Amino acid sequence: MKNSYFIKNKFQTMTFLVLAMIPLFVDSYYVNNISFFMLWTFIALSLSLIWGKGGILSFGQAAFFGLAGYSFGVIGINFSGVFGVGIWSVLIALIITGIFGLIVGYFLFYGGIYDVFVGIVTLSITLVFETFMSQTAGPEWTVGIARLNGFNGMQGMPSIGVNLFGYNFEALDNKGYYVILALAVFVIYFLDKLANSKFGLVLSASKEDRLRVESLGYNVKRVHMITFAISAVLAGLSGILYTNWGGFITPESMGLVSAALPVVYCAASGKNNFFAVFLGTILLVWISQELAINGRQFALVFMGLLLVVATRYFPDGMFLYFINQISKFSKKLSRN
Amino acid sequence: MVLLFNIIFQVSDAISFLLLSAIGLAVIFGMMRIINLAHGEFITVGAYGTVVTAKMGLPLPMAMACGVLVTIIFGFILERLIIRYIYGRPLDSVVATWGISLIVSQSFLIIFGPSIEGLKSPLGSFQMGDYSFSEYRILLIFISFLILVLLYFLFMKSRFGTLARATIEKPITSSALGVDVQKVYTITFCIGAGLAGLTGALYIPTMTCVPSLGQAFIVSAFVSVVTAGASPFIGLVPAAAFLGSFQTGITFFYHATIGLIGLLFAVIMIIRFLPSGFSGLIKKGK
Amino acid sequence: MEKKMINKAISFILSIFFATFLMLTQAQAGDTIKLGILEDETGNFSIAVIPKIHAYELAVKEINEAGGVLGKQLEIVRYDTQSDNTRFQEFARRLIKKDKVDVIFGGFSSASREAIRPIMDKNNQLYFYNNQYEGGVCDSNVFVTGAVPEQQFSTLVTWMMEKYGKNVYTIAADYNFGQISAEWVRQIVKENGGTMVGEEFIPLSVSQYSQTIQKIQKAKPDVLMTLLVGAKQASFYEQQAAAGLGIPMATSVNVGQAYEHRRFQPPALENMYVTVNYIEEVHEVIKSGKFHDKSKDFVARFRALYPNEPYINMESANAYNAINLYVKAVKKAGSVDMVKVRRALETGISFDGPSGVVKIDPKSHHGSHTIFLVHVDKGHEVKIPKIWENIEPYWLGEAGCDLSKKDDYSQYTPSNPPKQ
Repeated sequence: MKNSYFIKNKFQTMTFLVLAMIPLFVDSYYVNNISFFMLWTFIALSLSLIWGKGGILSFGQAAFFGLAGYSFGVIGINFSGVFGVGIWSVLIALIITGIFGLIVGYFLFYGGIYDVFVGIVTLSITLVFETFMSQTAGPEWTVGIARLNGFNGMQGMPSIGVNLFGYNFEALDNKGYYVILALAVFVIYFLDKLANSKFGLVLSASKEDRLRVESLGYNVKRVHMITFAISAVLAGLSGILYTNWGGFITPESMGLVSAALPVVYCAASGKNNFFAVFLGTILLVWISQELAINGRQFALVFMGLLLVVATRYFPDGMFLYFINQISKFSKKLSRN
Repeated sequence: MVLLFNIIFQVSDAISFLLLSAIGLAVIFGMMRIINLAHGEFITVGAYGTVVTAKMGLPLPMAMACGVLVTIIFGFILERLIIRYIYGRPLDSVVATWGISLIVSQSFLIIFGPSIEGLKSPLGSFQMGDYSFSEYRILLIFISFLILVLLYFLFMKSRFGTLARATIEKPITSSALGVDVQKVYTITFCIGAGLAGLTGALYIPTMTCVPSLGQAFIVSAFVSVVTAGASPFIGLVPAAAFLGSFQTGITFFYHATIGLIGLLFAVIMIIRFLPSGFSGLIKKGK
Repeated sequence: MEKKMINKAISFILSIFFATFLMLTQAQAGDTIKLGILEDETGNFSIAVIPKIHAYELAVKEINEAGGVLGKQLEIVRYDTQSDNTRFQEFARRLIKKDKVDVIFGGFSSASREAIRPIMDKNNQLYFYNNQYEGGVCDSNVFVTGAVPEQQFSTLVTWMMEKYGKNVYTIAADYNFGQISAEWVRQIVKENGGTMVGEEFIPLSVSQYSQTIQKIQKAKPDVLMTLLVGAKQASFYEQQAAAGLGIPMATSVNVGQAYEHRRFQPPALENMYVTVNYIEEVHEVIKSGKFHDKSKDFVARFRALYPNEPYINMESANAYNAINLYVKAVKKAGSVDMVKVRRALETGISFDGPSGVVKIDPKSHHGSHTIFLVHVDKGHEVKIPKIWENIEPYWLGEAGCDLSKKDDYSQYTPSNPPKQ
C-alpha cells in the first residue's frame, strides 16, 4: 500500500528525494534557509485541508500558529533542563492547540456558522490574540518564569530536541532540516490518506452540498469540527517550528498580514492538492525573500503582481498547473 | 446636559467611523461577495486624490469630489483588468485583492514617498462645559447617516438598485432577460470603489497622510458589513450602532485595548447568535 | 486556445524568473571590512528609516575617502527588512552565515531588535542598535547609540512640570515601548511631587481619538505626555487640534524621528515639546557656538550627497555616530576581531558627532548624549529653549548591569531590574 502511494506520485517522491540530498551539497546557511521555507508549508497545508478539501475559509490559522508557538515557548522555558523537555513541549503545545481548535470548531459548526462568517469569526479570534498579546509587556504577564514580553516578543526558549541518557539531539541546522522534511513527508502522506478515506470523502462532499450529505445520515458538523482541529494542529506545528527556528515569537505572527498569508500560499499554489501547496509555499516564500533582497522597493509590487496573475490566469492554482504540465511532459517523454 | 451631549457625540462618532469605513465594502463585499482586502487601498486612493488636488488649490469639497472620481476610475480599471475574472470565486478574490493591495500601497510609497503633508480639519471647534468638540467631526456624523439613507434608496428603491441586486443574485436569469450583466457588475463595482474613495476623502483631513492609511479602516469595515447581514444597506446602521456604542461603552469604563477586544468578541457573538445579521433581525421583525 | 497560449507564455516568463534567481551570483569576497545593515527601507517604518540608511552611507563614504581603516575599505552589505520582524531574522542569519560580516547595524522598532538579538547572541555577533527606544537592553553583543528614557524623560518631564504644573496625563501606545516609557514618566512625576491624573494605553491599530480627547479634557491635566507610535496613532495630533484640546504636549518619539512638524499641517502639533539628541534644525535655531557649527557641517555634507532628503532626523545622527564609533574601536583594537573590538568599545570610547560628544558607557554599552528640548509652535516653527549636555545613560549601570565585568543577554525595565 505504502509503496504504491510513493510510486504513484512519482514527481512528489522525486522532489522529496532531491530535498533530502540538498544538505550534502550546500552549506549550512542554505540548509537553514530551506528549513525556513519548509516550515511555512504546514500552516499552508492546514488551510489546504480545511479550505481546499472542506471549503471552509479560515483566517484563524495564524491564531493557532501563535498559540502553539507561545505554548511551546512557555513550556520550554519553564521546564528547560527537565528530562527530554524539548520534545514534550512540542507535544503539549500541539495538544493545547488541538483542544483550542476543537473548541473553536465546536463553537463554529455546531453553532451553524458557515461560509464567509467563518472567515470573519476566525479573523476576529486572531486579532483578539494579537491585541491581547501585544499589551503583555509588563512583568505581571509571566507564566511560571516565562515572560510573555508583549509586542517585542518572547525569547529564550530551548530548541526542539531530545535529551536522553546523555544523548543530546537538537533540531537545528541539518538535523532540524531533516526533522522538518520528515514531518512534511509524513504530513502530506497523512493528509492524502485522510482525504481519500471515508472521512475525507464526507468532507469533500459536504463542500459541494452540506445539507444533502447531512440528510444522508453523516454527522457533517462533527467532521468539520475534527477537520478544523486537525488543521489547527498543523498550523500549530508551523508555529512551533518557526519559534524553534528563530528562538523568538511575537504577536505580529497573529496579525492581519499573517492571517492572510496562508490563504495566499494556498490559493496561488492550488489549494486542492497538498503537494502543490507544499511546493508552492516553498517557492513563494523563497521568491518573496529573493525579491526583498534584489527587488528593493519593487519587491512588494512584484509579489502583488505575481498573486494577481496567479488568480487571474490560473484559477486552480499556479503551481498545480506547473506540476501537471511537468507530469504531462514526463509522460510524453516516457511514451516516446 | 453637557454630559448627555458628550455621550451622544462619542457614541455617534464611533458609529459614523464604522459606517463610513464600511460603505464601499458593503457594496463590493456585502452585495458582490468579493472579499476585498484592497478596500483599505481604495480608501487610500480617495484620500491621496483629495490631498493632491487640494494642494493644487482646489477648495476642499471639490478636492474631495476629485478624490472620489479618481477612485472610481481606479476601480473601473481594476474591474476591467482583474476583478471581472474572479466574480463567483469569492475565496480566490482574497488572493487577487491582497495582491492589488500590495501593489497599490507600495506604488504609493514609491511615487509619493513615505508621507505627504496632510490637510487640516476644516471648520473650527466649539466649547461645551469642560469639553471642546471638532465641528468637522460632528459634520461627519451627519454625512455618514445621510450617505446611508442615499444608498438605501439607490440600492433598495431605485430601478438600478433592483436591477443590480437581481443581476448579482441570478446573473444567468438576468442575462436571459436581456440585462447587460457585465455592465451592471462594472457599474456596481465602480460605485463601491467610489464610496471607499469617499471614505478616504472625508477622513483624510483628520488623519496622517501615509500610504498605509487605509489599513486603519479594514477591520471595522469587515466587522460592520458582516454583522449587517445579507442586506447591508438595511443592516449597516443598526450593526454600526450596536458595535459603536458597545465599544465606546467598554472603552469608557476600561480602556481602548479592552474596547477593541470587546468589539471583536461582540462580532463573534453576533455571528454566532444572530447568523443572518442585523438585516435578518429587521426583516424578521417585519 | 488563446488561454492556453497565455498560460504557456506566463509559465515561460516565470521559468525565466526562477532561472535568474538561481543564477544570482554570490557577493565577491575582497579585502574589505564588511558592515551588515538591516533597515526598513520599505513598510511602515520607512519614513524615519530612509534618512538613517543614508547616514550610514555618508559615514562609510567619508571614511573610505579618508583612506579606510587599517588599510582596508569599508563595504556595506544591506538588506531591506520591509518593517517585518521575520525578515530581520532571515537577513540577520544571512549576514552572519553567508556574508560573514564583521559587524551589524540596524533595526528601528524594538520588536525587530528583539527578533534578531537571540541570533546575534547565539553567534556572538557584534551588533549596533541605533535608535531611541524604551531602554534596558543589557547585552554583551549589543551597543546602543540611540537615546533612552533616562536621557529623554528625566530632562523633559521635570522641565514640563516646572513650567506648566504638576498634573500629568499620559497616553501611550499599548506595547512595550509605550508601557515602559509610561512607567518612567510615572516614576519621574512621583519623584518630583506631581500627580498622574490619568493614563491610557491605546492599541497600535487605533486611529480615532474622539473618546481619548474627551477623557483627557475631563481629567484637566497641566501636561499631556503623548507616547504615541506609528502613522495610525499620529492621527491623534490632527484630531486633538481640530477639537481644540489646547494642552501642552510632551513626547520622546515625534518630531525627532518622523518629522511630524514638517509633514502635518499646522497647528496639529502646536505647543509640543520633545527631547531629542539631534534634529536637522539645530543649527538654524542655535545661531552660534559648537552645536551650530557641528550641525551645519553635518547637514552640508549630508545634503551634498542626498540633496532631496526630506529631513535629517535624530536617528540619522545616531547611525552616523555608530559607524564612526565602530571604526574608532577597530583602529584602537587594531583588528576587526569582534571580541577585540568589543573590548575596545568598552574603554569609554567616544566620538564627536553632529550633536556633540557621544561616549559609550562600558557598563551598559549605551551612549551619552546632548539632549535638546525642542518646542513646536503654532506655525510648526521650532525653538530650542533648553540644552542639557552629556546626559549619561545611568540607569542600567546603577541597576546592576556591568557588561565590562559580567556577560548578560537580557532586557530590563524599572519594574523588572537585574538581579543583584
